[in-house]
Formats: sequence, structure tokens, C-alpha cells
Amino acid sequence: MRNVRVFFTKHGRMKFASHLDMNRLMTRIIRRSGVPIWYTEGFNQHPYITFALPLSLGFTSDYEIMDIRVIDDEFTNEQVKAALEKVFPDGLVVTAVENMVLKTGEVAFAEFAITFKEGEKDFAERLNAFLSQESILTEKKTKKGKMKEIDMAPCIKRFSISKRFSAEEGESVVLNLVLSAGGENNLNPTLLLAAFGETPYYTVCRKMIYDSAMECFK
Amino acid sequence: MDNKEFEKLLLSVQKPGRYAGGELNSIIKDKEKVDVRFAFCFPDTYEIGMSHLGMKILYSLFNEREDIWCERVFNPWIDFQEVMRENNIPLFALESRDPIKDFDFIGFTLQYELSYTNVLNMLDLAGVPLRSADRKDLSPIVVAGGPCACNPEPMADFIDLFFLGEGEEVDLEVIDLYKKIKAEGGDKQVFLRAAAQIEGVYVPSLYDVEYYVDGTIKSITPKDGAPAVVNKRIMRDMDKSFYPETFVVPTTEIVHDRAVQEIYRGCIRGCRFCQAGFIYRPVREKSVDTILSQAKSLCDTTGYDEISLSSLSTSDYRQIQTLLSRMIEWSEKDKVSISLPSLRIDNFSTELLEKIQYIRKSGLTFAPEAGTQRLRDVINKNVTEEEILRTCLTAFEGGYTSVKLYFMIGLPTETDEDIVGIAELGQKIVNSFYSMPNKPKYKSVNVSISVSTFVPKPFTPFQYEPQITVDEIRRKHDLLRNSIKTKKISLSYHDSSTSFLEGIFSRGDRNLCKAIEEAYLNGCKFDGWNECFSLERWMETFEKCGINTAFYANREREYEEILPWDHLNYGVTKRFLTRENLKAHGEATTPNCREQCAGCGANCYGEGVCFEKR
Ligand code: SF4
Ligand code: SF4
Repeated sequence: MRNVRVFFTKHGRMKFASHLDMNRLMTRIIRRSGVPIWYTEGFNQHPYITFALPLSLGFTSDYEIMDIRVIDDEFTNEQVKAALEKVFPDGLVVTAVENMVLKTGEVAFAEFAITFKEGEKDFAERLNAFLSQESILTEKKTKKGKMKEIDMAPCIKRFSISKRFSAEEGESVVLNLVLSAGGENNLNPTLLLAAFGETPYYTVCRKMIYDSAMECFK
Repeated sequence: MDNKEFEKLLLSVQKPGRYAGGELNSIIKDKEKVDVRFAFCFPDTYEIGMSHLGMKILYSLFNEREDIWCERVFNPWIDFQEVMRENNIPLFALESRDPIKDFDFIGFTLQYELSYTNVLNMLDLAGVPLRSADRKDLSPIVVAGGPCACNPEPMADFIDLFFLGEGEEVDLEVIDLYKKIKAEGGDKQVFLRAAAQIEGVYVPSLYDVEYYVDGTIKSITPKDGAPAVVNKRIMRDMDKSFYPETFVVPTTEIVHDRAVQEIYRGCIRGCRFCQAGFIYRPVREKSVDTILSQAKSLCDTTGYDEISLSSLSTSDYRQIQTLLSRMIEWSEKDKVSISLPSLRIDNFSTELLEKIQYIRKSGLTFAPEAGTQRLRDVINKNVTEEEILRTCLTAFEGGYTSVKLYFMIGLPTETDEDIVGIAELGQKIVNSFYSMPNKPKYKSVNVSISVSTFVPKPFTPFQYEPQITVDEIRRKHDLLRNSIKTKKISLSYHDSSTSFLEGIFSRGDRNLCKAIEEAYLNGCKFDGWNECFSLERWMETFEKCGINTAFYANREREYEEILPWDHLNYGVTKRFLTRENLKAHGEATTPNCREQCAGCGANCYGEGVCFEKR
């Protein structure tokens, strides 16, 4: 028996699948795939699956991680990949299947590409100024349900802003953002941008997940 | 509308996943390569519609054919409807996101009367004229089927044609006819007239209905060669009948999210209030082998880890013991759990109970339906108090500590004694728990009583009966509540005003069409949902349209009266229903189909239980 890490991307119509939905969907996909997987014990047995870092509904992702436990050591990672490829629905693509290296608790940062549809002229500059502040305060619900003031600035590892033009989509501003992720310090880009105030419509794609040394999470 | 723009709007509403499409096993075809596009509409939310077996069967059946692309459509929730209207998005099919107004067929399944306004709502959102007469072109043809099609008259002005009975064959025959007439350049009238010649097809516009001054029907006259009586269709051999190899697996949460395996159609019982017990006659079973191989295929292709056996009364399946033993064997190996809804109380053996415990330890449910033996005889619920108590005791001894009981109020001949009897039966069950010598320590029992209101339905022996008034329903609720003396019994009941509306439509005629249209235009939709339903709005509408609601709901019909559905034939004869009604008033029961044939008329199909060796 070994822990196997499945790397996949999530795009298209699948972006409307919430984290809970993904859990349910993957359970079924894996059952369908025929990969010999370990089931939890007890009355309600179900395949053991965990995700490294939940993704918000509406986000797409280039770097999703799901861990499963394969009971048959003869069943290679290549075979797992091939079996999953056969049953992944449109919008989900397996990119790699490898033996697990880091524990999911070691996730430290996540990188997002946030694309804003053309905004007011000085939008990029204002965004830059906002993200460069010493402190960015907001209220967040604690686990006990109370509102607590937190500072988001320390959670911004780095960011860059660029402008893009394409014939199809016209002008857009792309914010590349690396934020603390996993555990207590997890920061959702939506929360950060809400503190900015009104923005043009934007889409979010998670590009990468890192460990504390900013190495790609494996 | 471009996809980005569309997805942006989706993200602004609740539970967008239900409008996104793209679920596992959903079917995408090249629209250039198909001849017929069929929008299969369920007039309720995604969560409810996606739980429905009939839709899954027809979706797969249609899509097996290369020349047909069938897609799913549900009624969007109010918030998304508003967004759609603001942004001029017409109702679209989930798979292609194409507007359904451009499809060849728009088909509805009518599962309950309270979804009628949703049908209009969906046509309206699609940008399709509501009335059949206002849709002049050959396409889209608006069709409907499902149990409510057995009295389709309240929807007659909106639907071009109805499918009566089981759709697996007749739907395809109609689609083929459409293809032919389209190729020949025929128009809608030509098509409808030809379709009316197919058995199982009812084209309401080809029938003239005349009324007496008191509002009852004088005559129903076919025209343009339409048959005087329209027969329902059934599948004769269930082992050969199409069953999907796979289901679309929703990504978001729905009401019943599991594989469903049908084991037989129809019901041998003939409880006199139950429409399903009559319109699906005769009983036709699948063999154990068929069931097992279909069930296995479903679980393998969907990844579902739960399968429920579907039928009207699971324990009446003749080979239930064999079936369960073999299923358990397989389910253990594949880690699939089995659930058994609709179990009946009387032939519920200890052996079966052991198997069920093995399968799924959840609450037990029973449906005695009436509180006294007298009333159970009237409704032909052939179950005795002794049997109920014995079964509950068996269940308690097997470790169960809660049972749920279903009852109806407002049944014909019901007196206050029968209502009090419900509470008393509940009390006796509670007592039987405490009478166990070895009852589990520190455990208490819960008997939950769920009460619905009896609604007289077409094609049942009670089709002639008046429904009790809303005030009377409320009085009986109070009486029942006050008769319950212990906290071990919990009571819940359905809203009395929706039952009243259901009662109007279920035996309604064509004069209700204008009221349904008016009500929709007045803002009625999702009538089955508490947060949307408004009785006041409906009453205003009825008044405005000059509809006497008591005429439909609370009036007793003579046996000789021409009923709005008398020209439709579901196998059971009116003569039989009348006989059963007389027996009900004489408090006499009728044996089930396996004990003795009651001569209902459904043997005309030449198949099923009527020809089993007794
Ligand atoms: S057992 Fe009675 S109530 Fe149940 S489906 Fe059969 S006829 Fe209807
Ligand atoms: S004809 Fe007889 S056996 Fe057949 S369904 Fe009717 S009552 Fe039952």
C-alpha cells in the first residue's frame, strides 16, 4: 500500500464544482476507474481521498493535488494515470501521478493569476498602490463565529501586475499573486480584493502551490 | 451569448453548478449530425429533476439513437430566472447551452399537478408561445407525458400532444413520424393528425368538449379521424425493455444521488386512493438476472456506491429473497450499499428484516394510511393492526428504536374516531416497545407520524369522491394533535392549501387552462415550494376567471357523469372502478392480484401478473 499523489487541472464547466462537489465526484471517478484503492473502515466505507488545498467555486486551476491510497503495489503510477485519464470528465485533466513527497500540511503558498476585464484607466496603478501598503486590514470570521480584524499584508508573498491585449478579449489587467495558503494563514484572493473595493469583473486561476521554501509542492 | 459572459452571470447566482452542465456521462453530440433535437424538460429544480428515474431512462434511450440528441432542461431557480431575463438569455439546454426554442421537440414530464405553472414558466423563459394554438410552425412541438397525463385536460391548451402510459416505444414512433413529415414538408396540423393515429398519443386539440349548464361534461367528440378512445402504452416484457447502462452523475448535490434499479412496474395491491396502483397495471416483473446485470452496469459506469431498488412495493417482488441474497453478495465485494424504499408492512418477514438490517440500518417506514381497521378496509389497505404491531415489535427486537408511519386524512367515510385512531395506533406502538422484556436500556423509542391530505385522483375507485375543505383539514389536524398524549410520538403534516390546489387540478377539465395561464402571468410558479406558493394569489385568479373551486375539489360525482378523462383508457375499466367504490362504501376489501384477479380490465395487454399461475 502506498500514497499516490494525483496532479490535475480544473477548467471549463468544472469550475462550478465546489470543494464538496469535487470530493463526491472524485470518489465516484475513482471507483469507476478500477484503481485498487484503500477504503476507510467502518460501516460507511468510502475510498480514502484528500485534497492538498481546497479550491473556491468559480476558480480554475492548473495545479490541483489529490492524494489516494493504492493497495496494490504492482499497480504502477503509470497505470493509475491511464485508468484515471479514461474516466476524468471534460474539464479535468490528469497531468501527473507520482509518489507523495510532502505532507499536505506542508503547503505554504499558492499562486494565482487574476485577470480583470478592462477597467478604468488607472486601475492597474491603484491596484499596485493597494497591494503595496504596509498593512491591509479586514474583518474575518474566526472559528468561533466572531468577527476579528486581521492584517492581510503579511500574507502577500509577492505580486506583479501586467497589461495584456488580445483581439478576442480586448484590454485586460493580469495580477499575479502569491499568497499564504493552507492552515491558519490561508488567504483567499477574493477576500483581499474585496478590501480593495469595486473592481472590474475578474477570473481567478490557481497556477501553483508551494512549500515554505517556495519550491513547487510535490 | 459568449461563454465567458455566461459564466460570469452564473457565478452571481445560488448553486451555479446546476446550470453548468458537463456532468459525468452527460452526452454531447455534434448538432450538425443529428436530425432531431429533443429538450427533455423537468418542470422543477435540477435537484429534484435529476433524481427522477423516468427522465434517465428516456434520456439514454433517445441518445442511443444517432439521429437524436436529447438534452436536459430544468426550471431555473427564481434568482437565475431574473438574471436570464435581464440579460435576454432564453431557456437553454444544459448540454449544448443552445436555446430550446430552436429544438424540434420540447418535452415535459408531468409528475405532479403543482408543477403545471412551471411548465408555462419554462415555455415563457424559452420564448415559446404558451398556447398550442399560437405555435403555428412544425417545430418546436411541445409534448408531455408522466402520471399526470392520465388527466391532461387542465394542460390541454398548452401541450400539442400527450403520451399516455410508458414512453419507451411510443416516443420514438412519434419522433420518427416527425422526421418523415418534416422531410415531406408537412405542417404542424398534418403532423398532429397523423400522430393521433399512433397508439398512446393523445392530441387534445382534436377533441371537442361540450358542457351542460351545471359545468359537467356533455360530450367529448373526436375530429379529423382521431380515435374516440386513446389507449395507454405499456412495455410488455420488462426483461427486453430498455434500461440505461449508465446515468448522468451530477456534480452538485441533488435529492436522491444514487443509482436506481427498477425491479418491476405496477402494483398488485389496489389501495383505493392510490393512482399509481391503477394506472401502471398490470404488474410486470424483471428477472433476477436482468436486475443484477443492470444494477452492476449502473454502479460500474457511474461510480455510485449506493443503489436503491425501485418499485411501488419492494417486498411484493416474488423473488425478493433470492434477489437480496445475490445482491448482498455482489454489494459486499464491490462495496455498494443497497437501499430499499417502499417496503410494505404485511409481508415483512423476520428473514427479510435481517437482510435489510444487513443492508442499511436506517429508520423503518410503514404506511398504514388510516388509523382504524374499518377505514383501512374502506381504502383497501389490507393490513391489520396486529400485523403492524407485530412488525414493529420484530423491528424493535432487531434493534430499531424509531419507526415512521404515514397516514392520510380526509379519506372517504372518515370520522373523528378514525383520526383519534391514528394517535391510538401510535400509542400502541410506543407501548409495545416498552413491553419488551429485554428492551435496550437507556434507549427510548420514537414514533413519527406523518400525515398527508387525501386528494381524489382520476383512475382510482375514489375518483368520484369529494375532497374535504381546507377548514375541515385544519380541524382534523388539530384533533389529531390534541389526541397525542406522549412525547414519544412526533407529528408532521403537509400544508393543507397545496393539497387543495392539487385536488382542483387532478380532476380538472379544460376550463382550468385559462386559470393556470392567468395564475402564471400573475406570478405563480414553483407552487410545490413553500417559499413561492401563495394560496391568495391562486384564489384571486380563480375568482377572476370565474372558476368555482368547490366544483372541482369538493363535489361528489355521479357514477354516470362523463369525467374529463373518460376518453382515455389506462386498462382499468370505469365499471371496475365503480364496483370498487361501492365496495369501499360497504367496507369490503378486494384481494390483491396474486390472491385473486379482481377483473379490473388490465389483462387486455396480454401480459404480467394477470397471467401468472395462482
Ligand atoms: S401498495 Fe397500495 S399505496 Fe402502495 S403502490 Fe401499491 S396500491 Fe399504491
Ligand atoms: S386483470 Fe386481474 S390480475 Fe390483471 S391487473 Fe387487473 S385485477 Fe390484477
